[in-house]
Amino acid sequence: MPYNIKMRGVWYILEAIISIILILTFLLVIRNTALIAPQQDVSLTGYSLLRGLDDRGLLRNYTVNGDYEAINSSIRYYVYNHTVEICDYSGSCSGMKPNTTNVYVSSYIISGDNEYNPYEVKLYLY
Amino acid sequence: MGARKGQFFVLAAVLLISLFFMGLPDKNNLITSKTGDMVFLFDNVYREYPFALNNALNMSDNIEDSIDRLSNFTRYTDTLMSQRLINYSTLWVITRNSSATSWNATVGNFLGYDMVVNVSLCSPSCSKAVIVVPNNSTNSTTWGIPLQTQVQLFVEFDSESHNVSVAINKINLYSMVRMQRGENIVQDYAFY
Repeated sequence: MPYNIKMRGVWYILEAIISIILILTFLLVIRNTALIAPQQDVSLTGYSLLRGLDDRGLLRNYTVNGDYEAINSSIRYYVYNHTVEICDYSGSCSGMKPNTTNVYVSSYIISGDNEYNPYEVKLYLY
Repeated sequence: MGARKGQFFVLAAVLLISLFFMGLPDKNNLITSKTGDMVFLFDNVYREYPFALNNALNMSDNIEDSIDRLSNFTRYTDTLMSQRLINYSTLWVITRNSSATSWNATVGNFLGYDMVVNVSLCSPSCSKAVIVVPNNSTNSTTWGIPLQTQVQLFVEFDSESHNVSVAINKINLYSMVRMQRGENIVQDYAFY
């Protein structure tokens, strides 16, 4: 086979590979953009809800007593379902973590209630 | 000739791909701009420091125990922030009168590097303490100064310089909190 024809084939293969890479990267970008753009940061709403409870003087007492149900029932928010989990210093948690997809998590750290006893309160919106 | 034409196509394709990847850093902003959670976490931690100190003080008359608990709270917060890919750093200063003529300052340095902190009191003449604090630790110093009921407290480190008028009959807290994720930084300080 003449050298020119052989080389032309090599170039065609190379062009085809580059074309595939171009198309794949384009599709990847489109896919990622579609995922990111419509996201609404509901977790910020969750933070505001927890801070609201703290400002009302409810969150700390309920938290150090491990009363996640009282925290959850004090939250007046009806757009999403919500559950609460309380995690202590060692990372051990009590409460309800939803077993579903598309869950927004908001965290709120407290150092205790009159005594030093740090906890992390997690609010799940789903 | 045909092979050469092919070379130009390949060259153009390589150029196109290079241009695409050069534009990628701009696209990443779509993700890194979602730092709203960091602002809220910052608000939470920043507001919690005086609570943490008060809660610690309520538990013991020994100020050293309270300082240990505040250090503990700082490390706890650092762990939680690390889980959210936030680089958390803080420096706090607790000042109090240890007697009628002496003043004590304790510095907690959690900035990620060793720090020299100048703490000055003006009452009305000024007296300065230079406190060297290794990273991730606290250091304390006591120095004599005749105290009025109200003194001016100055805290200086790095390029930070802040002052406030404080009452001598209470424990005062200065805290500077910084959070960073990627290029996004939130930082503020407060006296309590």
